[in-house]
Amino acid sequence: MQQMKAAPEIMSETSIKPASVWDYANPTRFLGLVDRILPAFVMLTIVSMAIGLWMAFSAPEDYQQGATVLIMFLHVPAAWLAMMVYTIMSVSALGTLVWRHPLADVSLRAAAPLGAAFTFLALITGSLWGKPMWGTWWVWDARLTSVLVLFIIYMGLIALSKAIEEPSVAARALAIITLVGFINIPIIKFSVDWWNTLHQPASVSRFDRPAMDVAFLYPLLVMALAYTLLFFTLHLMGMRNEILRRRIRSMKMQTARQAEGS
Amino acid sequence: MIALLVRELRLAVRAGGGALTGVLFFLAVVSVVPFGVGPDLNLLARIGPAMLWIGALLAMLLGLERLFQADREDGSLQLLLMSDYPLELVVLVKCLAHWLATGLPLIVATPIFGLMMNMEPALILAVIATLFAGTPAITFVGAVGAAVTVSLARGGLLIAILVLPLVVPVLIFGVTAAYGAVEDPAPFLPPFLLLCALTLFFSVLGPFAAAAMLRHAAD
Amino acid sequence: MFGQYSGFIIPSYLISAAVIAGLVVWTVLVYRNRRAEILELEKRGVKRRYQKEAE
Repeated sequence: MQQMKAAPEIMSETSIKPASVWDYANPTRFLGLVDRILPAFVMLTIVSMAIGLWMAFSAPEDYQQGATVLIMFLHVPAAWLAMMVYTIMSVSALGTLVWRHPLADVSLRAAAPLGAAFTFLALITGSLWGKPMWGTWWVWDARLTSVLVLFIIYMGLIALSKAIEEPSVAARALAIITLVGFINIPIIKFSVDWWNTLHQPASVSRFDRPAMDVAFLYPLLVMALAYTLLFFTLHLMGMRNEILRRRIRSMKMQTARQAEGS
Repeated sequence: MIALLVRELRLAVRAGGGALTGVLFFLAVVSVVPFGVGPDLNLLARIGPAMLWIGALLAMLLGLERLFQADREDGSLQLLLMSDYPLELVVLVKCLAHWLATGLPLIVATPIFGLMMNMEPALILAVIATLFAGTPAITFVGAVGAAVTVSLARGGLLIAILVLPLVVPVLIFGVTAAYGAVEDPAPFLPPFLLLCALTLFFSVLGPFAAAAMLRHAAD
Repeated sequence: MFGQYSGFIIPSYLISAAVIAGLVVWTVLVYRNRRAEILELEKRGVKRRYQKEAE
């Protein structure tokens, strides 16, 4: 019942005044927003994931790939998310450096472990798909290698976020490294493509067809939607956690100050 | 600016040398390889360029930690921030000095290690040329890592984790060009020019990103 | 169940489920801990800037 009531409220609020990211620059207001929309996101994620899985398992077997096409429904959305999350982090980095939005750093920090997890899933499921299809767990193929580099970048960012204590310095450091990484990713991709074509020309047969059959495309799209919703749900929750962490930090500093004063 | 360059170089040499430590580390890495893969001279000759590049890359990363840290500790970073020159230019000069003090000695030492790896003279020359064109890029990217971790007491490992994925292209084109110089079907010039382009690109990106960080970290 | 490839399909679904479940559980647990900690701090009388807006 509460969810039903919450939904029209958001609608009316956004239609009355033009919503902007700045409306939620205040963490407390942002937490309020999260509490209101999170249930809807959770529901949508569960429903779309269920539909996606059902469609995936009722899809026919591929004439080439057999039942392993089932792995594609996990692998491709994870790989898409791996890239999308990095893009969101880069936009957040711009938010920190250019617009100085107070939540931009919160968003970047909350997204990093999720991006790393999706990249990890893309690598693992890709490996499990590669073994039966290509006959090997891993090839130093251009795409695999650049995703591996992306994974290392994610891990580096997480390590950096844990290493620097001072929040404003950490925010700037994370934003700068994220952006340098973003500019560099096309270069890495390009260099790795080039590197691979020289060393092992087309030894890997792959799943290249002009257009994917609708029987596979629809489940794939629904699964991708479910993964995207899952990311946004976890991202909102992660941002909430990060805001609470900061609040605890400032409260503790306050008690420390009071103890000093007395 | 010249004065800054001279000061940086003098510090690097006096500090008991980033230069010497780097070369020794390079020696250590290169001499460990034969123990790992076995003393087969043909195999060593084949993987030689790659090993020299990786050794040089790691040795370059070694000294990066101190690039801005020493300045921050003794307060000269504040002076540099307040100087009339744009901070980007200051960072660029500091990078050049760092490269002259650590990168150049590595390149000078390369022929000796090349001979130890049983490489042909032409291949050694190619490796020297590619290192000459490519190692500045490592310094420039490394400057960003160094600026970001400037406030950390032990940022060295973190710099390596942050910088290594970003210098993957440099390594790829450097090694490809080196092999391209001696192996017949593979070309030398295209990867070499790309390597130069990368160095120029990072020479702009690196100082700008590092300066953006330093401005904030100093206060 | 999936023919000769079940050894690859089932692990990939299991690993994906485990990683996603891990993320969810971790996020929820962190949230609970932090909220408890904030309540605890508030009970000890620590005020924060947006006190009036807190639930």
